[in-house]
Amino acid sequence: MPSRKTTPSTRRKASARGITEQYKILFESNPLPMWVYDAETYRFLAVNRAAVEKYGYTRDEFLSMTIKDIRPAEDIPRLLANLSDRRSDFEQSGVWRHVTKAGEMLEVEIVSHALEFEGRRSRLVLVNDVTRRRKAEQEVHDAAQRYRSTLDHMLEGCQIIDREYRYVYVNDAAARHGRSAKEDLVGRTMMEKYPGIEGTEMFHHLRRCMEERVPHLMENEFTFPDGSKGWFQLSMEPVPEGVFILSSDITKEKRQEEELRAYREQLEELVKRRTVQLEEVNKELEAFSYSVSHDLRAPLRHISGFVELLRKHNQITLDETARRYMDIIAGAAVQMGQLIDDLLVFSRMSRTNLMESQVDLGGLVREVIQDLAGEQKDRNVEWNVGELPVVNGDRAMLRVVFVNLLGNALKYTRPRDVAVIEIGSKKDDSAVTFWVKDNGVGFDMKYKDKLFGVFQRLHSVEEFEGTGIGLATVRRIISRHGGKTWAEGAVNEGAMFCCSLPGEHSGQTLKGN
Amino acid sequence: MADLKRILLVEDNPADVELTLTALAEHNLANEVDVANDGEQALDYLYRRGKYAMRGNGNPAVVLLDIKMPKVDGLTVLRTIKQDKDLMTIPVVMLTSSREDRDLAECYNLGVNAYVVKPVNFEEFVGAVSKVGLFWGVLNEPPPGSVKRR
Repeated sequence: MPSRKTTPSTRRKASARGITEQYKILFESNPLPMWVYDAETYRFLAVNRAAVEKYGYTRDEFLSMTIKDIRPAEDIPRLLANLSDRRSDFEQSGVWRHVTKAGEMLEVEIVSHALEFEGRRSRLVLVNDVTRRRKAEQEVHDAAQRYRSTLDHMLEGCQIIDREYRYVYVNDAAARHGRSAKEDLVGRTMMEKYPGIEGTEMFHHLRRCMEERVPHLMENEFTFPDGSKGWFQLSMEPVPEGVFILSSDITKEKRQEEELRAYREQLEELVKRRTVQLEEVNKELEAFSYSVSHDLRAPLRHISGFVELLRKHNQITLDETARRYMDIIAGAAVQMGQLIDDLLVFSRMSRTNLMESQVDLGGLVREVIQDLAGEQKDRNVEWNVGELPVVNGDRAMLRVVFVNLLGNALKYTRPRDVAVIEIGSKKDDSAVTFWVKDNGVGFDMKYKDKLFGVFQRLHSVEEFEGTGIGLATVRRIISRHGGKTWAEGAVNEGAMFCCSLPGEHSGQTLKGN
Repeated sequence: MADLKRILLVEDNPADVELTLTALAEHNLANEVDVANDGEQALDYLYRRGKYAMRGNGNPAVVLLDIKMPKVDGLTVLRTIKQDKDLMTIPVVMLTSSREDRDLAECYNLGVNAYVVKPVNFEEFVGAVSKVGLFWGVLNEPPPGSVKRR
């Protein structure tokens, strides 16, 4: 029965009983859970309806339990300590954890009062369930903690400067950027911390942001009091307290950028120097070729000329052997003249610029076949010219390619009664390939790598004349067009020489089809 | 036989001079040739200076000009001829070992009348030189003022 200890008076007994009834109702129908427990045995002596509803125990169950039974086991020592340490009748004993019959954990605020109940020393307890409030509070607290810790540990520096330019908040990174401890910054003004900062460009922008409330983004080189320097990207954002500054240390990036720039400049310088060197070498090479062209040919002409004059000189009679020697001398001079000419072509193909245009390979091949008429005299040559594309390339150089390939085909089919020479092509997405195939003497595949080398020959001059420069020139020209050259063949079974030109040289027809 | 006109052969190499004269002799042109051994002599000849001061009036029917020569080279001689209004009408034929594109291009830019590369093979050489001699010395009608055979 919740009531202060009363001194009943006979006179007011009847009305007192009425009041007791009212208190009973107040207890029983109170929306907050209430109970009375025995201060010595901690047994429940009475519980109200709200307690039954909140905790899930029946009234009878409650009355067979003690108040320890609605606590998690680990809280019981604290409960007992609290109970024994009771000093006043009325007590707000704070927030406790209770467990319902279903096992749900409740956080409750407990208010209790001592009373005598049915002759026993007891306490009346009022329970306020604050589980939900506590949870909300915890969430707010956790969130604040989380934001704070996120800010604190961000890689970027965060600081809040108030309207007096005082550091209000500084995170770890900002302190690091400022080369100061947080404690040295917070509470002090920027001017105190960095004397002279008012004169800097950065401060000028900060002041604008502070006064005009406009955000600003900048890269700033900051000079520290010790004279060292660092680059920072600063984002200034007006906030109610003043200005929020987000700072990233971009010193490393700036240094790298500078290094990269220096490196690039160095590289450009190097390229320039090399180009000059290359041009010089090219010039020397040109002078050399010029010399070869002019000066080496003259003595050959003289050998050839005077041998001839000697032969015709009527004061001398030459026997068979002497005439043969003369022939050899004259032949050698002509051979060397050819070598010089071929070498000059080879070197010209290597050093002159490509003059690119649309070249109709079909037309070019027909033209070259006509030019080689001398080599086809008194011979039976069957030309099979397939479809040939229009390509992008240097016409004069590609002409040299066909003069060499077709000339070779004619030369090495000489022993055949009927020379069959096929010129064909095929295209795919990346390249156009063309080939010259003959039924001539062929070659041994084990020498296929030698074929395209300068001065490399697979036949003696007696068998087939030549200087060994033609295919080297072909390879050089095709490779200057970005293409490849290769050969297939077998001894006495003919040969096939292939050239491929990459997409950019393979002309319009490739794109069209 | 038609009238023969003087031919100026500008050539520094005596062997080449001899071979050229031999080739021209095939058509009996050799006696009509004056030889200058370098560009300087050629210009002296054309301007009648130095040892040619006493040379009679009139320009040669054709100048056969080598390119690479000591002192003054053939390109300079060609340029001088083609830029002088009194000489510019003289036909000039380059007779050279060089078939370098840049020489060809430069000679034609300067206004050369023909460009012949001396063949290494002697028979071809004789053929080429005598054709040049015949054409420019006999067939071609030179501009007025050329030295005629007396």
